Amino acid sequence: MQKENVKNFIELRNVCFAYPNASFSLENIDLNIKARGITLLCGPNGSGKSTICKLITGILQPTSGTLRIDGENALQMTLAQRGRKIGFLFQNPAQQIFAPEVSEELAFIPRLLGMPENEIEARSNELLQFFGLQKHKNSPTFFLSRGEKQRLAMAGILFMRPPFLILDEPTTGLDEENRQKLADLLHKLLEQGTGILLISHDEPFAAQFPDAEIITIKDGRIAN
Amino acid sequence: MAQAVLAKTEYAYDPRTRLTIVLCLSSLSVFISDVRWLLGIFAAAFLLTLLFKGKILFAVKQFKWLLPMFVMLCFAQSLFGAAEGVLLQLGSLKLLSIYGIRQAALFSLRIVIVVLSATILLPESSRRMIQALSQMHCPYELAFMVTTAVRFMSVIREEFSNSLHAVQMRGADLKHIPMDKRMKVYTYILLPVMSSTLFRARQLSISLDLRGFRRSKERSSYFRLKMSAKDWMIIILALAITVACLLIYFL
Repeated sequence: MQKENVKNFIELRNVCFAYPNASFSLENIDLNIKARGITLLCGPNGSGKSTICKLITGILQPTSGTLRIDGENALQMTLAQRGRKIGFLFQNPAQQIFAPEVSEELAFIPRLLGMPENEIEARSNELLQFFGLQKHKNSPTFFLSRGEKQRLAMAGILFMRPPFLILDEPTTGLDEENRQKLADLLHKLLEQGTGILLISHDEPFAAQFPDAEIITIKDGRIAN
Repeated sequence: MAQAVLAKTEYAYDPRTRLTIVLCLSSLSVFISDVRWLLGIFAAAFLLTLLFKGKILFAVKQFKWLLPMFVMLCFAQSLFGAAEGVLLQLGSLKLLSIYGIRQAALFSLRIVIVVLSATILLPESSRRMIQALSQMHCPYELAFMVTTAVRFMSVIREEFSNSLHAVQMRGADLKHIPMDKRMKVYTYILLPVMSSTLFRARQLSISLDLRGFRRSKERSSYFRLKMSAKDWMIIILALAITVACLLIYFL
């Protein structure tokens, strides 16, 4: 009952997309994703889950249809403007870590955007603590484990405090302990009011979120 | 089996024919330094790319940076080059000259010809390309490395693009930040891209060793490429025209 009162954060209407020279396409996708709580996007491999994420985040552009984020026409927003509203965790977190050191990875973008140094330091410490990466503060990012890289990528995303997160197959390559840490972290973020779109076909992991709204996608179409 | 698989795809020309055409066009564009000649070579490259079903649209996409580069070169060559036909001057500084424009045009045309002609090779499969190089007595390892390196170019591009998306998705609008900061972003991005590419190359080489690559010195192949009369004619014609052009130009 409470869920119904929460406004839609992401709205897709009749969104179509086709990759050039490929048979796969998304057809007339209609989606409403709430600003709070967790939405689970599931479906078999190659069904179009990651493509939907890339359309929402602006990495891909739909061939037709409308897309609104937080009430605004997302098709007229730049990647950076969408990034301020949505944090996107790539399937392979190593692809979004670019600084040589952990602390620099967190501070690089805020410095680029002119955030004051004392605020950067405070937020960095807070996030390193939250993600259990304090001891790696000055470590090279290249030698972190997959789980650590994922937590660092997540910390980097959360640094700018986006109100919504999209996580693309976040449990890929994680052992049981790290999967549990990730689930705990997501519960904490949900408590803090962050909205989450989780893409996963890891059923035991998804089962840890019994309140999740479930959207199933199959062969480029919404199945439920 | 290999023959059967490769026979499924129709290939109108032998890879060696394509290689010869690319070699001829690239050599002409490098040795000739006359804009009119290069325009002629560009026209020939364009027609040959169409004939060999090269990817013109792919080449055009690579030329997005060419106009700014041309403008920059015009000014740089005018400023530091010979004082020939000065068109715009500020005190003793030559801002724009005929010499600068000509040098920039030469550079741009060369790049366009090389990229355009290189797309002639794109319709070929890597297996056929390796076989063609092997039959040209190029060591198999070298042929394999060349085609693998070409394949890696798209991997590097994808990695670079992913990293750029990641930076922008964290709220940094690259179009609206100062040039020095933008350069820093690119420098930062290059590091993980190169390290991950090296990492992949290492994994690939380990995987090759595990699968017995170079286990025996002599390597035979059931699949053989055969040159048709048409291929021979094109190769002879291309080489003859290239030599004739160079002789006319230099003599």
